Amino acid sequence: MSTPMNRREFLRTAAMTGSALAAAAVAGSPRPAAAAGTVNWLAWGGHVEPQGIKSFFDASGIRINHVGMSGNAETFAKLKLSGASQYDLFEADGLWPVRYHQEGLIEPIQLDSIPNVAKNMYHEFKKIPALQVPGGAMLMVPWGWNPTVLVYNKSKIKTPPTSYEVLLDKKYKGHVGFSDQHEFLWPVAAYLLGYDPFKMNKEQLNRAKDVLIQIKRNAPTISKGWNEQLRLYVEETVWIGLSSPGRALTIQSSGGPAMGWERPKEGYVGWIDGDMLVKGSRNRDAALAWLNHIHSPEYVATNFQRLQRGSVNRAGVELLKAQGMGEMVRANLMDQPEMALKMRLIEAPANQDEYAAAWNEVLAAS
Amino acid sequence: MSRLVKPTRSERVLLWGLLPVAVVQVGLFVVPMAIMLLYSFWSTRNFQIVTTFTLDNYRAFFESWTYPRVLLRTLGTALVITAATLVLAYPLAYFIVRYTRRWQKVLLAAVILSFWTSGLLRAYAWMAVLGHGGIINKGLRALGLIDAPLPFLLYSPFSVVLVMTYFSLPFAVVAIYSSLEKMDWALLDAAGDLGARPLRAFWHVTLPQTLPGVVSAAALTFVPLVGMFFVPLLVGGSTSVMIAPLIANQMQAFQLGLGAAMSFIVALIVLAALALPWRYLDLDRLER
Repeated sequence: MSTPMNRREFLRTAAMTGSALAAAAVAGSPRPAAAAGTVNWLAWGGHVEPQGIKSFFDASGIRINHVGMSGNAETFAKLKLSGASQYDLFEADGLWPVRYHQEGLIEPIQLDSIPNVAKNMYHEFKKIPALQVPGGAMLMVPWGWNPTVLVYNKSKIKTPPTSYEVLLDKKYKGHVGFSDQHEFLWPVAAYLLGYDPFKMNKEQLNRAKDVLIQIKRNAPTISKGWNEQLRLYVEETVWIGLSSPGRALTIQSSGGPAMGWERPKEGYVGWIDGDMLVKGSRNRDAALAWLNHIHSPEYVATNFQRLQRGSVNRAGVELLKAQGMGEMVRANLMDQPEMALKMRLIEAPANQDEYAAAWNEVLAAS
Repeated sequence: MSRLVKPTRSERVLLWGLLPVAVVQVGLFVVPMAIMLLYSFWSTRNFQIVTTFTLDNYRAFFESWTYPRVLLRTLGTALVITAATLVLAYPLAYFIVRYTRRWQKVLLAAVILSFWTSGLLRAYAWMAVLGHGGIINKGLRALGLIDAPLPFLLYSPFSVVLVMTYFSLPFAVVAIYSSLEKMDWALLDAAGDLGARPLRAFWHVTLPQTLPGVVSAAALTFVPLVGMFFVPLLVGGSTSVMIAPLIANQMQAFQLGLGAAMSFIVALIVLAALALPWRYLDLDRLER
């Protein structure tokens, strides 16, 4: 049997432990890392190829300090609040770079000043009007792209769905995919109601909210991230939802059912993501050297073989084809860059707060 | 009037030694709470913090039924899980203390063994067990007992209660164990000798003596459950969102004011839940 501790002993033990912890904390404080020769890269984890980082370091002596990022709105809020100066490069989707530019956080880049971009990128992505400033510089260096379309389990849904209305169909209750990525869900409701997905007013948002709540009631859960969605499709918990054409292929190749995809007749959105250069970056040259490296065909081929999505890099796509991955290239529309410019790109709504409040009500609804 | 007593030298040393604890407590509890309280009276507009005092966030919380309903759902779920945990933990702790003298420490270690693995991994493990393609559904299908996966096993109130009870059980077992371990078992024998049946003896002798442990177990279970984030997110259904994921979503969307107000409302409820058992905790027991 243990002996009960009295109050004095307890206080003494606590004091000694506290002193020891404080001493350990002082002795063990980390020294600030050397900043020279380091590019601080705030980027989605999927874009990181450790081998590519190593080969870049071996060749240039420049270290890449990758910091993982999440959604567009969250990253924008974080950078606006704390400033972007702690990074040299960061990423965004769709028309979000326009917001960063308006806030004076980024420096537009002449894409042809980066050799691998000049040489390897499809020309369609070098001049995207909405992302260009006078003089031709781009707000970001595009990387990947995808349309967000309807993907479905062919064995469960025999007739290819052509409308978002299928997501509201009660016969699919418990089998509709519903993720926490509201940027891709608002357009569904907006297109069904005939509104502009990113310019809805409060009243329109209220109606769109009700549509999303109905779709949510058909979903088994609110999935977080692609890996969870993949599992739901592979296990055949979810039969239909929003994703990209290439991911339909990924579901199949991960042991899941045969999947199909369709462009909804109401319209659809998509994204082009990429890297932006922080205005006043302390490691500007190193950051541009890193951008040059990741746009090499080898880095692109390795990354897109894993990511399965549209690529902006012609040389990388050609390399994938040469490696015998033509089917994957076609499934991901990698050889159809013109498709990317036909999509409505996701963007930051001007009334972001109203969108956020409405989305919370969607999540909270029973 | 009481006379102020000057602390002795050893007591002064003791107080200085407690300074790091006080700094940590202030830095990690008081300051964040104060910041949160401040933010709850501010608002955000288009990714800008507006530092004008307002009660709008609290008003927004209570003016529609949406958020209070989520809070009530969370509290109700936490209460059900707390009750389920206590019902499971008490007999287990009783068994360990009363009947396993030689294996007591081993069994207790087995109970807390789950802490050695990340909570997130354990939640994913449960998903692998309960999911449509999980062990249970596959097993039942292989035996020909079901044609389609049982829909209630995952993404349902059942899975939330099951997995969160599993997470809470070790806390409750340890709290009740420590109380049972200090119990004077001679009193139970005396009750039996005087003719009390086992259930009556438990109700009048064992339970009152171990009540501080039960109350501690309830608090240790209930409080983390109210703020539990990842379990309801991973195993919960689409229409039964709990309050913590909702607060996280507010913060991610830069709705700091409403997020802070919701956090503060939850914090007040948690403090009230802690104040209740505090009445039952007899600190003098520590002196003995």
